[in-house]
Amino acid sequence: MSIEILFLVIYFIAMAAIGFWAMKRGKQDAEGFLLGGRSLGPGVTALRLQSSSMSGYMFMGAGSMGYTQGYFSMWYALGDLGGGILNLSVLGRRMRKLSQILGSITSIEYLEHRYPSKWIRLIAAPVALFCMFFYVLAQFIAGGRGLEMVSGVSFPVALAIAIGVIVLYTFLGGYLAVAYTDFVQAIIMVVGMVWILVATLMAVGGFTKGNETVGGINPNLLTMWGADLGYQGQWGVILGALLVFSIGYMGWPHVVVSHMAMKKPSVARTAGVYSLVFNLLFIPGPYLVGLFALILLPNLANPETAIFEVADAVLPTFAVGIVMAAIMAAIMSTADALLLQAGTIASQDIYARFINKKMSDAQMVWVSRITVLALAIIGYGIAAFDPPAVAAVVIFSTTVLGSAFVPSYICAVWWKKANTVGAISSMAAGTLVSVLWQVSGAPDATGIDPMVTGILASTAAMVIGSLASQKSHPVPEHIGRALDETAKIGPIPKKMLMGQDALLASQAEMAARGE
Amino acid sequence: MFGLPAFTTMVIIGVPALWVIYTAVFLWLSRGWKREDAKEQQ
Amino acid sequence: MNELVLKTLVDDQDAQRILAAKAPGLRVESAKLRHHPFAGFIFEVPQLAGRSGQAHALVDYYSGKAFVCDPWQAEDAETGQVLDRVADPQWNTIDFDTARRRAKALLSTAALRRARLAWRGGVREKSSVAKVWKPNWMVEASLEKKSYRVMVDGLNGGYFIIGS
Repeated sequence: MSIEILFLVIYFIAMAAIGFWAMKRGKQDAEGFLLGGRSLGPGVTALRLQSSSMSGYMFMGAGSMGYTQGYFSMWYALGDLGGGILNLSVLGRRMRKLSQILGSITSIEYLEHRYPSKWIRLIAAPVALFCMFFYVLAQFIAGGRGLEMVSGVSFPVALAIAIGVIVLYTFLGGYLAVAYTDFVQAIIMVVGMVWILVATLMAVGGFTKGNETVGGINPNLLTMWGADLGYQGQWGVILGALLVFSIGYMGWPHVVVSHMAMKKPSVARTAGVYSLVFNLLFIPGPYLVGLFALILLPNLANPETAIFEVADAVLPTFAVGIVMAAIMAAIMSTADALLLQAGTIASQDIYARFINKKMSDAQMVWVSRITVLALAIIGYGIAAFDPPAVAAVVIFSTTVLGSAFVPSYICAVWWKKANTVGAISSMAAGTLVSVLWQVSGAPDATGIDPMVTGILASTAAMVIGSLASQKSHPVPEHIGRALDETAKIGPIPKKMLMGQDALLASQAEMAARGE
Repeated sequence: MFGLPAFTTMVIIGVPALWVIYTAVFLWLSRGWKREDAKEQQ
Repeated sequence: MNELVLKTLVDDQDAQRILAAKAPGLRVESAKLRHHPFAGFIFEVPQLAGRSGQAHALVDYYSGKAFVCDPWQAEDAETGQVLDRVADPQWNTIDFDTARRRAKALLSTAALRRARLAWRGGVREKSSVAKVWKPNWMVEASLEKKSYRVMVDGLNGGYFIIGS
């Protein structure tokens, strides 16, 4: 057994053992166990936001883009840098308040509460599930490739093991969650990445020297226009690259759900700062390591493995084990979060909402389990025989999710006139335009990224749909009141405005009514 | 600088700087949010 | 049909103090106790490693919102106070069975979230109360010559401004 595998196994056994021990020993109260919701502080909120969205893409896709496109790939990183702060500043506080007033648990349910119509869930749930599947697929491929490298077994076998472990994780993660939180994962990710980056920079003789050497290989890589200058002046593509992980990020149901779990609305403020710091430390790393891999490993068969291979080449043996364990752990727990969210969507937003309204909790568990297993099997089928490029898969699914959901999530809290008709048209237009634009090859023909057209279409549909149907489908009164409370600007002393108990909103409303 | 073309240097320093400025402005505008916490800390 | 009146833990003096602490200079003109109806449930919630715990949940009859809460403290029966009950606005009013379903769904979802897929289900209702009356203070207050109506939660002292 290689040392890397040994580290990986020891790591997980230790985490599971701590979790099991804590479970057995812990106090017998249901509350701490159940009230995981709406209890997260700023550090955890910020890091959870990042860790539930980054692993597979960062460790494979980003490295491969740096390797093949040079500094052009930085456009994606530069947008991504602000993704967390943008998300938290635009949605964070208001979404936390509104979801509490509306009593929503899942991020799709929240949309239906804000835009009351069963069609909201009927459209949103499958679109979210479809896109999240691709995102899970990226984690599978990354996990499989990582394991292939450290263990030396063939990719299909490594993939099967990785998926098996990920599925096992979704079953036993409840034990792990005690010791191994998203918070720990994010810290490990950033430490691992910075470690690889520093070792890489030392190996290539420093940042400036590295750039000069890369320039000697192909000077175009140092420009912002791609390896063959193909993107020079292609602002439609560049804008898309900047938008996809900054604005598009606000459309991810599994990411925005963490806003709803913040301890206090103001957590968004501090969390935004933490996420910027985390991003500045973490995000440029994989792209730069991918770029400098050109110097260290000029003949990589698969650029996607650039980061794994560089880590293997520049780190001392024991460190390779630790860093690879960290990377694999990150990939696994991201996949776990996605799969669990997919299970929730399937059980709560589809099964309980449309098929069996009286779902028992045992049925809920089984629907979630079957969904996870089905995604794992289909994922294996696709990844083992014809693995798509991780970067392409992640960018595509983020584009679709962003186009479909960003206007709905933003207008939910910022625009009182946004109504059901607007939201349905927006989700439908965003999904259709971004998918059709991509599959019809329009990005190459027009030089405009599907993220740009998709988000324009869904925003236009939201505005036109809402305004055209204000008379026929007005925003219900109780939602209007909830929005007033969310925004809260009125003839009330400012000090009093802050600190209200949103849970009381409806009780107060009704008591006042009766007088 | 850094052995990079001027435009590349400008972009990879300029855009993060914009995000830092954005964050600073956001922090300034949201400075009152803390007051919202008084009750929930109980 | 069993009923229960929750003990008012925050009295009118406390309510006044809470508001005055937030807005110095605020004067409370009057405070009236109102009671809001909830369906109350106590569940046995299985967790991991063979453990299980008890959880209390309340579901608002008038808005349909369910939440997990602290164990209830009932008002002594002999106080004989006359409740000023909040009238049913008939907006989103739900019945007891719907309330039971929502409470149970809330707890199962929360438990599954925490325990992941190894969770075996089996949330069991231990007891229920058809009507749990929760106290809230309706406070009329004035500040700088303007008057406000504020609701103060009779259990935890949270408040909400209704209008001016």
